[in-house]
Parts: sequence; structure tokens; C-alpha cells
Amino acid sequence: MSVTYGYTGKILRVNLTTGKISTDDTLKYKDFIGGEGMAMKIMWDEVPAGTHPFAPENKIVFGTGPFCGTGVPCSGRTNITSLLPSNPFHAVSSSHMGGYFSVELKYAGWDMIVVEGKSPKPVWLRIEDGKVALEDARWIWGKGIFDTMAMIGSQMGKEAQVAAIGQAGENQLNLSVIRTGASHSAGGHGGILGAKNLKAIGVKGTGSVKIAAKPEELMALDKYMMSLIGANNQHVVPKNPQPWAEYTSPSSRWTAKKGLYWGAANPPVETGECYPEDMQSVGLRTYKAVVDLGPVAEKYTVRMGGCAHCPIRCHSQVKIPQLERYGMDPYVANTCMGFYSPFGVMINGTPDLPGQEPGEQSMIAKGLGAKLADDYGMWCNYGQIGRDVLYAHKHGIFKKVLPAEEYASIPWDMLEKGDPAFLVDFYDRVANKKGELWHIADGSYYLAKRWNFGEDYWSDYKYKLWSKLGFPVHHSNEASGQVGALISCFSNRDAQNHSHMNFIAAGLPIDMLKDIAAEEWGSRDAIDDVKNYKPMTAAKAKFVKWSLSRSLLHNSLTLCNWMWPMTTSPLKERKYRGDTGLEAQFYTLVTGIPKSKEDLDLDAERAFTLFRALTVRAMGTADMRKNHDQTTEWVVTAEKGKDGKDIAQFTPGTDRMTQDDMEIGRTMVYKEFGWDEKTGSPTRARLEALGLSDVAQELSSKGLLPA
Amino acid sequence: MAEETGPLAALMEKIRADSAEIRLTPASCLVPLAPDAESAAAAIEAGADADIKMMRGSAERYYFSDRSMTEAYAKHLYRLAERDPVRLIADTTRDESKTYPRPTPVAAFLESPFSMTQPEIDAAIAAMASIQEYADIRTTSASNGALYLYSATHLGAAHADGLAEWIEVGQKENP
Ligand code: SF4
Repeated sequence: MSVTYGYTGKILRVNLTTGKISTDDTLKYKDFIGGEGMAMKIMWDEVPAGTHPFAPENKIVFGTGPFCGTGVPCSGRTNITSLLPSNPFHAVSSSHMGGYFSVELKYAGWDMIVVEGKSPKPVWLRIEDGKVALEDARWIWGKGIFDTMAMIGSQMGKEAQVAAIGQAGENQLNLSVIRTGASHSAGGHGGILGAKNLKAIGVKGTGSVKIAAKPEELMALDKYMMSLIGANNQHVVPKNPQPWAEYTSPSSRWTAKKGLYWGAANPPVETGECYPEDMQSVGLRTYKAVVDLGPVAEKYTVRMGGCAHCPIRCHSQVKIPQLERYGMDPYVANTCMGFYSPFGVMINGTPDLPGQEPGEQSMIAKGLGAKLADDYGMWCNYGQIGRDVLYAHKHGIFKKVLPAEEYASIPWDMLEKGDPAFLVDFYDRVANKKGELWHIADGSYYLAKRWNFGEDYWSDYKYKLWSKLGFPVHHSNEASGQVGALISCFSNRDAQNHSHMNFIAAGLPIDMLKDIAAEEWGSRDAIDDVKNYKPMTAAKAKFVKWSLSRSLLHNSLTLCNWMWPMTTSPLKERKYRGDTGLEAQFYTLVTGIPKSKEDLDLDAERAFTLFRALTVRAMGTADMRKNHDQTTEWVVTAEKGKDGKDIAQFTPGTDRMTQDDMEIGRTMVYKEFGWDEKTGSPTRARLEALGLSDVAQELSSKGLLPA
Repeated sequence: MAEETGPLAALMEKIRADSAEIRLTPASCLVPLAPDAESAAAAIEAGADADIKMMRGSAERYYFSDRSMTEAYAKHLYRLAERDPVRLIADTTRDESKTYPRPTPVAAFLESPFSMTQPEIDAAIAAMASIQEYADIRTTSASNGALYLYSATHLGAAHADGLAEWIEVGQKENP
């Protein structure tokens, strides 16, 4: 095989039905970049429409990108693509995990793993460089992820990276994860491994990733990139006033400051002023523990951790001795939803007990919830599970749908009074598929049907459901009005898109952001002031397309979209401009395949259009506008102001949209992608122009091309 | 570039040294290096390097070097040095309402560099309500009870309400 740069050149294929292990060529998919893009192509070619996610015919693709293993900042993510069990049409979706798995896979010589079939008995996949074997997993089947990792680690050595499912995945819950490391979960696809009888993948690599450029060229670009990097979510101003800062934002994740410590480190580490020019303190900027767990967490924080090649470190690693009361070890790590979501089940909150510090009980509950969800391998549908508990509780549905004996056995009093121990009982029942309660993990679409939820479940803002396809808001209309709203409309699950969010929440004044928007998307009208939205514009549609494509690009390269793209920077001398051409510069140096920013954006557009075609095929209709891209009602209904009166859309104080304006927005985005403006479906002409003639052919044969 | 030695150089050196320690230099503190505050001010005005900036207070002039701190930060220190908590809160709020624009969480004044106590903040906000000069400063609260301030000159009430709710509650529910 010829030498490849960035890519290892090899895809590992594992058929669990036959036990056959084979090798495929990565570069035959190179028009799809890597990770998510290549997985879309594999899913299109190899998994027929109508396949059930848990059927042996479904495939699951673990993908890395050409940057994994090269040291490009924030390039250690793993993309996982398959049919999504919680989606009503089982449409293709991706989930993502950080940690060190993808880098180890590259060092073992593999760009991707494609798993198909179903093993007759529980197995785990052992990868040691080119040596690949299926191992008996009966001794770890039924165990939580922490034990599973420890047991596989005891066989492979502590340098091995493991991705595994817990009981939730084994039991094929729709809401289950695949996890690696202490805290890196990919939500939604755990049950697929369970259905395949594949408990885990352990990987150990002793190789390296070859780079086309001279090392000093890559190092120079790396250094430049590091000068542009901010804090987590590419927030480029600090939360509190700092001597070096012109601007601040109360929402910034750049939380480091003088006198704020990782208090449980030995000795405690002061986060300090973290001047933007100081590369050595980049990892101190994002003190996420005090954001996610509250100020009380300062003295419990050991350090911040994160993914391979990431200088940011957004995962809090805390030691909460109070967890021992619940039979847990005191160490817990996570970030964002990993803490908020399991805790969200405590619908009445968790009031502090006498003698506790302010916020202590909720910190304990968040730690406990994270630990339980991470061990059982439960997914939350991006925070929805707590709101589902709230709906069912508030409407007396639990009493109606649970058998009397089961209902009586649940410690509701703990939930009422906010005792975190409720979580221990709850997650045991759900992950272990006990009684009827576990159906809360079916996901919103199936759950609402099964438990006969009312229309208000979908239409009341409180429950935050974005689409009747059963997924919630995730940087939707609240994130730049139509821009976030339209981004969410193109998804098959919560949108997981930060391309727009990182920009609008960078912390800079709106006038400066508008200037940058004009440079990037052609007009200052690409964004509006927060909570002061104006009707749809063509520039917003460009911003939407760019955000959707860049997110797919990052999941293909695989870069962390919680940091990339670098649209802004903390540098006053650059007028806070970042560099949106960095991905292409890195790509060219790493792979030796010259690509401009426009080339890579076109590759991403190709992959995104293929994703769209996959959705068309899964749903069996070309009318995406009507059947896929609509929102729930609250999104396009005026909200009430403090005085109880409606706040009219497109006046200050609201982020609600109108149906007419959203339809205009859909048309504009379809046009940007070159799709049919009536249905939002890819046209033959556009598919062919993107080199997807085979896709056009198949859609045509199924009557799924727009007229 | 001003002279590298001599009285002006000494004045600039003192200002830069203070700024490096994240302190403003009141004109009165330059007296050992100049006959009086006025002549120090005149010398600086006549020939100081561009990094030396001046802010005029009610009774003092304050100097800083923007090599070590931004004007935005120096303004905070200046307002603290003026020892008028009502004005400090009002002017900081006006700046944020104008610049970003956004309302200012009252809790921000508990933190560095302001480090005010809750009673001090409460007293300042209460006093503000009866002074005509601060009639543009309004309050709004988020649904979790957190109090925010904004300047009606730069932000409308509905917008301020919406932003406070977003910063305080909405954003935390949508991490
Ligand atoms: S920012 Fe956080 S999630 Fe992204 S790569 Fe870094 S540690 Fe991982």
C-alpha cells in the first residue's frame, strides 16, 4: 500500500455474525473527508432503507479523521454513525465522544471501524495494532461501564483505550450511550452494540500518524492556531474583568481569575489571570466545575480534564466524599449535560440540608447522577429525560401507566423532597428495564405514544421539544433566532451544532460580531442582537448553511465543534478576528492533499447533502419541508411578557419565530444548498454536481427525487 | 517617544510600574517626582508616550499605562478610587447597556475588582432611585430572582427583561 498522510489508509471491518475481520481502503471515501462524512457514504451504500437499528443488517461506524493523532488542537473526538433508535424513522444520525479512543485507534493503524452483523454470544473487540480478535465477553456482560473498562484494562494494560456500553445498551434502550474514558459519552447508539452482542472495543496502538508537511511547518501552524484559541466554546473574553481584557461576558466559560483555585488539587492550583498570550495557561482558562456545579465546587475540584490533543480541558474532575454515602467512590468527572441531565430527573430540585453549604446538595446530586448514568450507560436525549419525568409526574401519568404494585414501590417521597437517593432507584429501574418505568428511555416520540401524552407535551415551551420527531432544543431559536432555529430543523436528533453558537456567544459586542458576520457571510444582517430578532435574511441562510456544513466538517476531520471553528479570537490586535481557513490549512499540511477553505466546505456540503438524502430515503418522502423540517408549535407562537401580554415576534425581548418567516427561511436555506425550494429535497442536478450520481439514481428509482 | 531619562521618564516609569501592579497612579502620588501634581500633569500632557493615559476624577487625576491594563479595566479602578459606589454601579451599568448591549447582573459587583458587599450594593441601588442623575438606571429580575440593572438610555425594558432571563436562566438550561 502506498504511504498515506493523516489517514492511516485502513478501515477495519468486523462482521459479528460470521466473525470475519477484514480491511478496507480509507481513501476510496476521501471525498467525504473522514469520520462522519465517510460514515454517511458507508451507511448509504450498505444499509438499506427500512433496516431496524437493532437488526444485524444495521452497521455502526466508529470514525476518526485525518487530524486525530497529529496534535492539531482539539482533534481527538470520535464520531459514531448509525441508524438512530429513538428517531421515528430510524434515520441516520451521529453521536460523538471525546477522550483518547480515536487517537489510540489511529496509532493502532485504523481510520475507522465498521461493525455489522450480530454475534451469537457476548463478545468484545480487541485491537492491538494489526492484531484484531473477538473475545468472549460473558464475564463482563451485565456489568456497568466502570467495571467493564477496568476488566478489559486488566487484560490489555492501562494504556488501552476502551469504548463500552453498560446495562442500558445491553438492554437495547433507545436512550443509551457508548462511553470511553471517565466521562466521554456518545449518546443514542449504545443499544446498537447491545443488539449486536458487542460489549466493548479495546484498542492499543504503538504506531504513529504520518504527516505530509515538515514537522516545523505543522508546529508553526499549531502555534498560530493556539494564539487564536479562547476558552471552551471559543469564548474569547473572560467572565470577570481582567487587567488585560477590553470586554467581559457574564456567560463566558473563561472563568479563570485570581484567587480562584482547583481547591482539591495538592497543592491547590490557582487559575489566575490567564493572559491570552500565555500558552501555558490555556488549560486553566475554562474552570467548568464552578459553572456546572456552582461556586461550592471550588474546594472539590481536583483538576480539569478532557480529550486528546485538547489544550482546553472542559471536563471537571472532582472529588466529592459525600458520594460515598450512596455507595459510590468519590471521584467523578463530566461536563455540561453530563452533570445537568441526570440531575434534571430531580424535578423539584435538591434543597440544601441544614449544615450544608449553599448549592452543596445539588452538587452532590449532579455528581451522583453523572456517576449512575455513566456507569449504566444511559443517554438523556440532550436533557429531555428530566422534562419527560416532569411531564409524566405533573399530569399524573405515572399513576395511570405503571402497574399499581410498581407505582407503590417507587420512592416518590424522595423525589418530592429532593433526596438525591431517588436517582439510585430511578436509574436502576430504567437501565435494567424493570417494570414499565424504563420506557421513559424510549425517547420522546415513542414515549409520548406509549403513555399517551397530550398535545401540550409538544406545544408547551416548558418541555422544550423542538420537533415531533422527538428531539429537543439544542442551540435552536434562542441561538441567533432563525439561524439556530433552522439549524435544528435539519437534524434527526438534537442538533449538536456549535458552529453558530461559538460565534454568537463569543462575548464580543454585537457591533463587532456584525462586522465579522459581514466578512464571513456577506452582510451584517446574518446575525441580530440577542433577543431582538429581525425577519429572515439571505445572509442568515448563508450562516445556516455554513454552520451545518462546518459542523459536519468537524465531525469528519474529527475536530471538536465545541471549540471549532475559530471565527473569533481573544486578540485585540486582530480586532478579535479568528481564522475560518485554519481547517483547510491544517488539512493541506497533514494530508499533503492541497485544499482551500472553499474546497473543504464543498466536501462538507457533499457529505451534508448525502445526509439529507439518507433522511429522504429513511422517511420515504421527498417532502422534507412538510414531513421533516417543521418545528413544534411553541417555537412559532408569541410568548408572554412579564405583564402577561404577548410579546410580538420580531420585537425586542423575545426569540420566538413566526411560521411564515420560518417558511421563508427554509426556502432560503434550500436555495443555498441548491436543493428543491419547494420540498427541501436534493435535486438530481445538485446531487450530480456534487458527484453523487448514484444517490440521484437510487432516489429516482424510489420516486424520491423532487419533481 | 519621550525622553529616556529625566523627570518625565521618571514619571512614566512610576506610572508603568504601578500599572504593572494593576494600580492606577493618582497625580498626588507623583509629587516626589515633580514639584507638585499640576506640574506633573503638565509634563505628562506635554510629552508622555502614547501608552500613558489619564482619567480626570472629581478631585484627582489618575494615570495608567495601557501596556499593562486596558482602558476598560482602568475605568473600573478609577471608579473604585472615586469612592462613589452609586456612580460606580450606574456608570458600569451604562457602559454594558451601551456596548454589548446587555443588562448587568447585580451579583457582578460582589466580585473582583469591585468586591462590594451585598449591603453596600443594596444601599447604592436604593440611593440611586432618588437621584435624578440616575433616572435612566432601571432594574429587572430573572425568574430565578436574580436582579439585573440596565440603562434605559440604551436598552428598552422588554429587551432588558428578555436578556436578563436569557443570561440568568435560559442559557443555563441550554448549555
Ligand atoms: S473542548 Fe472539551 S469536549 Fe472539546 S476536545 Fe476539548 S476537552 Fe474535549
